[in-house]
Order: sequence, then structure tokens, then C-alpha cells
Amino acid sequence: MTVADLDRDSLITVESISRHFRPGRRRSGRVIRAVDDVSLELARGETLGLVGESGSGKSTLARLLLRLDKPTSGRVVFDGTDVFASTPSELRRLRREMQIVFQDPYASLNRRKTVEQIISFPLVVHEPSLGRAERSRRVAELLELVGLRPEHAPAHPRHLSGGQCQRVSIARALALHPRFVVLDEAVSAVDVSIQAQILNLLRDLQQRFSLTYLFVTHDLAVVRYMANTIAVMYLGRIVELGSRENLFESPRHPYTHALLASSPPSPGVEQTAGVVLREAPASDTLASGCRFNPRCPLGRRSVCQTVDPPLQTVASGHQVACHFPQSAESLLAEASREAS
Amino acid sequence: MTVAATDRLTETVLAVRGLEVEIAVGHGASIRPVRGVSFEVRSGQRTGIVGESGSGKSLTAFSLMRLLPPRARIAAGDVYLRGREVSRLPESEMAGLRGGKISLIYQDPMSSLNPLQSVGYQVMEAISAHDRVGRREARDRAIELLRDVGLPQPERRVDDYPHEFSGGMRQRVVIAMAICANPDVLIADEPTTSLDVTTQARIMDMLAQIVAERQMGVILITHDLGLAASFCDDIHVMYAGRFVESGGAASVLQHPTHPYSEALLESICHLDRDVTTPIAAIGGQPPSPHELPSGCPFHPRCARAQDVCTSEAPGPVDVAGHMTECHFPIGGEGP
Repeated sequence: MTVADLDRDSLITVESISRHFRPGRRRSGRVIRAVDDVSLELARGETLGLVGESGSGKSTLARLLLRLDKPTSGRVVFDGTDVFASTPSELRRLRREMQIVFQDPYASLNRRKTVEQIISFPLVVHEPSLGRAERSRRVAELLELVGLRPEHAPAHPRHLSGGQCQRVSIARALALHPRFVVLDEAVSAVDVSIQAQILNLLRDLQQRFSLTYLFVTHDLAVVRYMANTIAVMYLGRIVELGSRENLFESPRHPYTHALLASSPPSPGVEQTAGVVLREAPASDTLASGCRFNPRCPLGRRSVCQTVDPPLQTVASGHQVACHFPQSAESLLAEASREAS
Repeated sequence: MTVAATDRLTETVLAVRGLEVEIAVGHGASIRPVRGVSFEVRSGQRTGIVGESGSGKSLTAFSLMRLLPPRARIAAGDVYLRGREVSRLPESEMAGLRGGKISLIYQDPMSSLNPLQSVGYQVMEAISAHDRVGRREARDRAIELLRDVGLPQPERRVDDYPHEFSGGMRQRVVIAMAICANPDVLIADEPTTSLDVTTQARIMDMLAQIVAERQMGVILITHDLGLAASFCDDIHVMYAGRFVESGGAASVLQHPTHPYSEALLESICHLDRDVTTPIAAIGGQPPSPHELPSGCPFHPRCARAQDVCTSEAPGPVDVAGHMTECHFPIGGEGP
């Protein structure tokens, strides 16, 4: 860790956290390393974007940060408090400080409750001394905050559109004035026109309340719009970590290149040939050496097959876990030289 | 190229005229989520229907397949499959065409495969539904098809079960089943929505190759304008049950003439946009078919709306080679 990293005013520090699952029978000895030795920092008031394909472990990592799951090893420190070693009263305070918005707007709301009941529930639990009138006033404020109207308070989720339900989820997450909010694919299930509204709303709320976000998504264009710092995850590891400029203007990991190349081009921009990955192996055992080697254009090299590359700094604030970090052009050139 | 081959290229395989779909909502009331849709698909042509959820795009696809939900029915219009009207065919005859002449790829590959049967069995079943072939030949053809759709080592994987495949591989199996009888028309309803971006790009490339080789007419149903633009030759933008703009894919993208198409394009969060300014989002919600706005259905969300838009539904006009349903199209004789 560099001095610059320590100087940043971080709200959350993740120290070599791992979460391994043992599926099936105990004796089978199979281990899924959903999150494998990940370290991260989240700076106050900033957005950390976490991108990767399904199965990369990004949601598991997000759940660990919120103590919705327990790590196999490692620590999470939230503003000086060790999240997994906290006392019940500390934990109660922590729960108010960190909130989450899920992907599926309908599944994450209780369809038997009204919008008012859903949004006021965190207040009922954590601020039981509030009177009913005061709670209603707070709900009305929250509804306005997320762009809904007072008429929505008595409605049930089924009467709302997907975008409106997602606004209710956001209002519920903000009810206790948290400092940290996880947005787990929060706009992936809503329509394009609504997605833009929600993204703008989230950026606006972040500014007003100095919120710190962990923005989990598979959509690179969305993460670029939302996050100052971006971590690319592959099979439980962070393979590239850097500022928005680092990641989008000078990406260095072959997996990041491939993700960028397969994102749909901007309207009117011709899609250019980019880094293409080999097919993912069907087995759930990790490759030896670099875990990305079975899909990497350069993965047949012997160092890639034997040595697991650590995250190394390639430029200020830009880290890559690859033996041959380089630009897409030079990677393509090397790959075609090797193929011939 | 011979004259005959050229003819086949430009042959109209599907023609839809004034299609309307009605759903009974109880107490004798009904709604019309599809309100007069007309278009044609030629062999080898890739057509996109782009719209948000609730715009009627999936119902359009289901009505072409005659797979509408129980309370829904085709209320008006004709569907010609290679010149033959099929919207009023008895179900027994339609069953022979479905999967044979016209087939559908669903969004979710897990729910379109039977988890209790091997993928090979399911592809073989699709083959024997349209062709009288022996077991051995069906199996050989299944393996060939799985190879065509890019499944690695198909002779080894043919007896595996759906849960042993990744999402992308499952979708390849579903595509193999859909193309096994060489249909004239292939409908792909959000085929890659549930897949990762890297997988999505590869599946779309494979699909493009297959339809080019077999000269199928393709209808891609999607909410993703970017995907439609990169895959399709022509695009229909659907809003509140009607095509509000139709034209060449590149042309619609670069010079949209309907305010909705333009707003939709501007609201996309794409990789090259400026991150310091907010995205130009479309305000409000897409209309519900239960309470359609009067006049032009887009007027409550439209920045160009005038008085006439609230009272009169716009008819189709030709602007810059696009069909547009707008009183004040962009690039037309403006307001």
C-alpha cells in the first residue's frame, strides 16, 4: 500500500478478505473461492464501482461488507469499527450506517405492505420513540426526495412500475441517514429511459448527503458514469483497480480489455475488433498460476500457468494483477504473433 | 449470383398487416397492448423491434407464433408467412408451422430447457417434431447443430444436462433447437438479456453467422437500442403498442425523426458520454395500456408537444426515409 492510499480519508477498509464455500458433501473437498484475498478501500463520499461477470464474486463481496455473510478470513473496518468483531450495540449502530438497494425492484419489496409501511419500517425498528405523525412526515420527505408523490404512500408495490419500486427501495435505504449504500445491480432490471432517471437521482442524493457508494454492476458504461474508482473482479479476485481515467483510458488487464471490447458501441460508433476471450472452462476448479489463464489470449505462457500474479502498481493509483500488463493494441499484436 | 438466388434474398418471408392484440381484463372490459402493427421481413433480413417493457413488443412476437396467453387474442390484422395467412389457422395446422417455419428464442435459457432431460434429447425431440428421422440420425444431426451454434466438443456434451452448462451455452442449445428445421423466420426475444456482456457479444456474432448462412429472416426483440443497432438492418421503435418510427438501423440511430427515438437515444448511458453532466433522462413513465393518454401516446413525456398532440393521434408520415408517427417530427416541417 502506498503512502497516497493511506492519506485518503477512507470510510471502509477491506483487509485480505476471503469467502470460500464448500458445496455438496463435506468430504468431497471441493472449495469455491467466491472471494479470494481481496483488499480494498472506500473513500468517504466517493463511489467504488465493482464490475465483473456473473460468478465473479462481486455480490458476495458486497454482502460481506454489510455483514450479511461471514468471511472465511480477513477483516472489514467501517470507520474504525471492526465489522465482524463488533459488539451488539456497535452492530446496531453499524446497521443504520450501511444500507443496500437490490436488483429486482419487485422481489425486494414486501408486496403485502404499502409504500408508507415499507419506507417507515427502518424507522419503526431503529427509532421506536418516533410518534406516528412524525414518522408519516419523514416518509413524505423521503418520497419527495426520491421523486415520488405523497399519493404513492398508500399504494402497494404492484401498483407501481419497476422504476417507481426502485425509488421506494432507495427511499427505504435512506430512511436512517446512512453513510454507506451498496447498490447491487440497482438499475440492471429497469428500462433504459428509467435507468437514466435512477442514475441521475443516485448521483444527486450522493452529493446532497455525502454518501459513499459501492456500485456493483456488469455494465461498464454505467459504472463509468457512476464511479470514481473502479475494481474489476474475476473469479473472486480483483484483477484491475484504478481511477475512472486509468480504467477507461489506459486499461492494462486483458480481462478489462475484453469487457470493454464486448460492451455495445456508442450509437453511431463503429464496433472495432478488440480482445476476444477464449471460452470459459466448464469446471469449477481454479486454473493453476493465474486464474485467468484459460481465457487469456496470452495464457499459454509458462509463467501464467505457474505463478499467481499479485496486484501490482503500474501507475499512480492504478493496480493490475497480470504478468504482462499492456494496452489492448500491444496485447492484440502479441497474441497474433504468438498464434502464428 | 444467379437470378434465382437474388430472388431468394429479397423474398418476403413474413408480412404483418394491422396487427392488434386484445387482452380481456374482466367484467367485459379489455385493453389493446398492440394497436395496429404492420411490417415485413425478407429472407436474410435482420429486423429489430425496440421498446421498453409494456410497449407491446413481446406480445407482438407471441402473436406471430400464436402463443398468446389465455386471455389475449389477435383482434385484427393478418399475418402472412411466405404468403400464407396464419393468424386464423386452426391450432392443429399452426402447430406444424411453429418451430418449423417460424420459431422463437426466449429470453431465459434455463426456463426454456427441461432440467430433467439431456440437452441432446431435447434437440433430438425438436428435430423429430418436424422430420421423420431415426434415432441415430436425429442424434447425429443434434450433434451437428450443437457444433453449428458453437458448443465445444458437442459429441461429448450431448448427453449432459442443462445445469451442467453455463448460461451462454444453454442459450446456444436453445438456438440449436430453434433453427433445427431451418425456419423462414426466427424471432429472438431478448436473447442475451440474462447473459454477461462478453457472452452476449459472442452469442450475437454466432447468431449473425447462422442467419447469414441459412438466409433466415430474423426479428430481434430488445429494449437495448445499442444491441439492435449493431445487429439489425432495420429498426422499428415501439411505443404504447404502435411502431412510432421505422427505418434503416444506422439511419434511425444517427437521425431519429420521432422525439421518443431521440429521447431514448439520449438517455442511454454509453461508454463515450461526458460523465460530468447528468444524462438527459425521459421524464415520467411509459404509459399503461389501461390508461392510454389521449392523442399521441407520447405527448405527456414529449418536449415538442403542442395542443394538437393532446387531442389527435398522429398518422404515419415519411421523413428522411423513415416512417414516423409524429405531428412535429425532427427534421420535418417543424412546429
